[in-house]
Amino acid sequence: MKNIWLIAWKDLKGYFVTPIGYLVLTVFTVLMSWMFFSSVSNVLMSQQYGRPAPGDLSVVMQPVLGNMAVIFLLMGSLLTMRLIAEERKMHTLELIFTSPLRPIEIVFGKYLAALLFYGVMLAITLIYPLILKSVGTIHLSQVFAGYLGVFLLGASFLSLGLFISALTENQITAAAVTFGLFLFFWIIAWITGPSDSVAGKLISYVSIIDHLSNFIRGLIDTQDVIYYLSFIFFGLFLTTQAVESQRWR
Amino acid sequence: MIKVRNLTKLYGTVKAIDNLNFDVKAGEIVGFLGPNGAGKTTTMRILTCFMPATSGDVQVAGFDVFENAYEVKKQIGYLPEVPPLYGEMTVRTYLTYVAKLKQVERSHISQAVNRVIERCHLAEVQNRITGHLSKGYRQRVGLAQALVHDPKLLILDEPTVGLDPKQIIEIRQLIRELSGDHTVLLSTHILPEVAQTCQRIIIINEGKIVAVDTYAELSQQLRKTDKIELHLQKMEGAISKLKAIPGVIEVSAIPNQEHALLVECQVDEAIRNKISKTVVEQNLGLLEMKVQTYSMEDVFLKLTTDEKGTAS
Ligand SMILES: Nc1ncnc2c1ncn2[C@@H]1O[C@H](COP(=O)(O)OP(=O)(O)OP(=O)(O)O)[C@@H](O)[C@H]1O
Ligand SMILES: [Mg+2]
Repeated sequence: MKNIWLIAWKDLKGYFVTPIGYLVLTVFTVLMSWMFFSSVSNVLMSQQYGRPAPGDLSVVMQPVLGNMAVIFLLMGSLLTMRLIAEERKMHTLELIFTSPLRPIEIVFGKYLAALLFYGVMLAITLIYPLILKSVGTIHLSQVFAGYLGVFLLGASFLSLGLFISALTENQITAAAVTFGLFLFFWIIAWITGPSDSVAGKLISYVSIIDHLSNFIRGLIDTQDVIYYLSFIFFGLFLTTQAVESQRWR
Repeated sequence: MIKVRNLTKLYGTVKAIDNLNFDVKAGEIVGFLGPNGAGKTTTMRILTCFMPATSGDVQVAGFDVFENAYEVKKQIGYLPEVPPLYGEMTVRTYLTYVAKLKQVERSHISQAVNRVIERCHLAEVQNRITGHLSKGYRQRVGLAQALVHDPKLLILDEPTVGLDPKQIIEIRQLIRELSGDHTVLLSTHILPEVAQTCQRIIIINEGKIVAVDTYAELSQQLRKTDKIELHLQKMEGAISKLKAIPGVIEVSAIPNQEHALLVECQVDEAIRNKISKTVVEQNLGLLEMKVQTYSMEDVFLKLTTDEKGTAS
């Protein structure tokens, strides 16, 4: 555990060595705030047209959470591109792989760094439900479910991104491929045929976005949780294999 | 300390090293000498568990590099070909970080870092960012990171590359000081380097070991003798007859080969002529006679034999 922290802490600080860390935090926060206020104004508008005020303000958060996932889709690859590719390029992989650490500790450490950074991004946006709570009633458990979904989805992306970073020594390649794959897992649901066919069900199961909708509506379904956890597990497994096998060649 | 048996490594179909066998005893300084592409870096990467071998066994301090990599890694300080620096860290932070990676106890870390900063003369740059250092300083920081956990075994891949002559002398002095409590295996393609720092030399070329000996022995052998391989039908009396020729130093049977002798003699064509005459006169049934191309010579020719260019 100590070793995992050692790697994670270094890489977490690494986000702020280049402007990437500040950039991602700033852009994400600005965009999310804009989304939040537009969602609030939508609700206010509809009241002006005579609709009743929502009894539970968590409906304000639903589109915000959905958009949060989309924005992270666009930015997530920036968090993982550097993690392993850069170590390979700078030859520091030789240092960490000849130190008494297990490969899995290295992979977990790097993943943890990305996850913590993502956690901070999400934590900043918790201010919105708190604002809503101060002005009306909001079922925080519903909001919590939404956040859990967005967190798991992002965590899945990050494990995929880490894997890609293990395959190259070029950050830009890593970012581009990762982004392409994120997008693929996102839009794969668009080609579903009749949803009762086997293929349709399968595609809908694989699609990373279809598992998010329940969470955003406030439902935590074990099936969805299992989907994301196995995605993460698989991503980390592949990453470990990749860093191992590259030294084997 | 190091025991290498039948070590082979293929990169795809390229054979980088081919059936290496050697030992390094505890406390020795051994030089790994070979021209570019000889397989020095490859061997060192296997010894440090960075890369597994295709076949063969390697033991470091009694642990197998493949099965017990964790234990092996704890024993080794490794300076790779390119110093593995994190460009954004200062020298001190970097060395502290490496000490943690190498599992140095928390309470000893700052002491260990101070020690290597002093030893590698890094005091004046200790708060500079490693990414901004000159090549020579980067090399010294690389050496410092290999020493920070005071490992029993040091594996140094071309430790003096990029240093100026004064620094080279300092580093060699430092390496010599390490002998005794530390075992050092260093690679180089510069002949005088091993002559000055190493007690023993392993010469490697195109993935094969050409010779293992002290520098004095090697350079002497190189100059003094010819080695002639004889394949004969009849062996009776051959050895004594050949030994009787003036100028012949040693005659011995070649192990694992029937009817084959190795004749070591002074470098002189007349003596070679005498040998062939004797063989014919005694009717020993000469099948083949060849002067062993002493591949070490070829290797020496390819090595940098002066120190020009080392500081560039
Ligand atoms: N990653 C790799 N993939 C394919 N071939 C490689 C790889 N690394 C080394 N080789 C080949 O293996 C052989 C030995 O290389 P190695 O780097 O071990 O030589 P070296 O003795 O360290 O040479 P130098 O003095 O130039 O550092 C060379 O022919 C090289 O081309
Ligand atoms: Mg080399």
